[in-house]
Amino acid sequence: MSNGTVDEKVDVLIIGAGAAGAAIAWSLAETRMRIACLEQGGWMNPTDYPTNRSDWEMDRFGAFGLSPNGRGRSEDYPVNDEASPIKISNFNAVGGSTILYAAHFPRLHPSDFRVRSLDGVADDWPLDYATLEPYYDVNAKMMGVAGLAGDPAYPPKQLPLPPVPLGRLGETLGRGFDKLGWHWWPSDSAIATREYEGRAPCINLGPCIMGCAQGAKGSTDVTYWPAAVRNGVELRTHCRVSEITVDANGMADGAIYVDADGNTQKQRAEIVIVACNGVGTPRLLLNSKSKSFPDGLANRSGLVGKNLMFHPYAMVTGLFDEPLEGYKGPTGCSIISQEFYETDVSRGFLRGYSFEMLRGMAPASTALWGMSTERLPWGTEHHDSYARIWDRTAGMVVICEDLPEECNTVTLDPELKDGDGIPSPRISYRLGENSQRMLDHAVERGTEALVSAGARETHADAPLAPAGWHLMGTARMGSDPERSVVNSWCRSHDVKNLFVVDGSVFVTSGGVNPTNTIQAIALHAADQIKRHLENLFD
Amino acid sequence: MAREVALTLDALIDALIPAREDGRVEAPSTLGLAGYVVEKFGEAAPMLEQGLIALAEFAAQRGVVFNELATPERVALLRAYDAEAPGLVPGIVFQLYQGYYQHPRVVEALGLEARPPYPKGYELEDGDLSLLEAVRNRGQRYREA
Repeated sequence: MSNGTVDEKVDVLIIGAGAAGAAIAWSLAETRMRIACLEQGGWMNPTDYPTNRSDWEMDRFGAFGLSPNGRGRSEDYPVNDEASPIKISNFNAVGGSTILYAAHFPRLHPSDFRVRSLDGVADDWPLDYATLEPYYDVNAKMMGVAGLAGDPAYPPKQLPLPPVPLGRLGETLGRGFDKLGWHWWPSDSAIATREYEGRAPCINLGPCIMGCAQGAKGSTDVTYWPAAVRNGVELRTHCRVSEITVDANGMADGAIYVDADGNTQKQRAEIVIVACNGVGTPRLLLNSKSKSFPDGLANRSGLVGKNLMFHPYAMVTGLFDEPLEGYKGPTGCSIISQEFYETDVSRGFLRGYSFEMLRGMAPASTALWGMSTERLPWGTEHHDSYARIWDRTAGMVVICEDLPEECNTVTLDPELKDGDGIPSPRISYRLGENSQRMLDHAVERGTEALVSAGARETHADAPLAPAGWHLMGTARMGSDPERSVVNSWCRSHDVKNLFVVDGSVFVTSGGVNPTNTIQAIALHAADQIKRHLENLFD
Repeated sequence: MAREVALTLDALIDALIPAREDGRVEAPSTLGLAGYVVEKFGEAAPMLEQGLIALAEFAAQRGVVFNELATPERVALLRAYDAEAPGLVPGIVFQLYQGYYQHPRVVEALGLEARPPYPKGYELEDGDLSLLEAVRNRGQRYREA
């Protein structure tokens, strides 16, 4: 219960200012409804990003690291992920995890929405690619997506900006794929490759995953949020929501939060939209217990927090003889291969994966990689060994589709709490057999691709432990209220004025980065809310 | 840090990464990297000191002064010490590699400008997109659904 003040009621309360919260805020703003968004982090200052400094590389072990458990930022909450081989990565700020993401921005495939019908596993989504297609297009314009038309791995699409440069590294890897007769294409990337909508173009700084000092990377603090705020959305930062409350009729009526001054407040609202992603959303819903919802808000199906999906990642790195200038250019965006994306049962697993090629490493990162892979001895051989690896690395991450399993969960930790006393999430996850076979296949094929491109040695890591940055499935959408949490336009089956619009609603994970699809889903939900506004609560 | 211990640390880091034979970069101690290592050890600095004292004693038991050995002999003794008492060397290597490969003199010796990436950035060629004709010609790859 709130022990502070109660805010004046708003029409729409959005919780979370990341990828989805920003998109739905912007879209709903045209209704002129009174819209407020509560975000537990703050606005990022580009001058704080590491690439402003010469000693930028090692910030990946500090305030710009991947794990909330190691960063030490007051905006973070601890996550108990001991019972998972894949560790959670997220970021709390205006922009959410788009502040640190690599901006690799593919769409799902049409087949990703029909996994049950096509491959006999998991479930079908209650919507399809054609339904989301116009929202992918809107999102491409708003985020500023760079890419090349004509990719035979996708239905036709137009993107507003030319592709990120291949560079010497991209061409080398592309030729390798060509020798094998495999698919490859310049990556769809939320990176402004030209001046775009008042944003400066990419200048190939390198480490997009530590924030973009140039502002060229499409994080939502520089894309959707400025427009949403101009159009009247009130964004309140450093406001951490602890629970969503319901009235006597079981309708959501607002949220309790701790404000920037540490005071507990209640924000009342007609409509509540949750956009805290695959760990934050179930955490909040499970912490919002009431007489109407003793097992957590909107959880009559019992599925809130279940079916957690990551994308199990592998990383395969190749060592080449020639310099590749890999320290230049967006680190996670060059070319993609979806040669093994669609199901082929002869491979021994269902569904598939993407190869996303990575640029090389900067000097200190090269040294630490050499140390960890025992390729960089200290002593009299050190300099010769370093010369063999410096600017000679290129590689890929493999993004494997993860099948939903109810045993993979986000629950509330009985002991661990955040700085405001809110229970932390506890992750319980095991790698499924299908995922393991897929990873094994991907490492072999990835190695084959790098050797084909000229790599003289390769090194593989799988599953990649820090790669828990795609968080899906924990409030899945569906038509059947007994087997899903929200409907096809993200409305809770149990609470007519409650919506979940983030990666939690994914039915299956696909084998690509989810942010583009998360935002398309949020935009679709916004349009449906607008369409149903007059009878939303009927 | 006592002077003798500081000298041992200088000698140790110069054994881990010897001065380059082409003379383009000095040894880490000349670049001031001993101080970097101590700073990075932070609260564990007393443990670092203990380890350095133990290393000097290890050398003394073999009738030599670690700081006074030539580089190849110093490296050999360090390997023997690391085999007997693992822990000190990897910890120092981890910090030293970070400091060394971010030092402006080293970065320049690698052929880069010693500057932050921003605001100048880097030039990167667009690349030959005609390579994609072969991919296009292989036709549709996605399943209809």
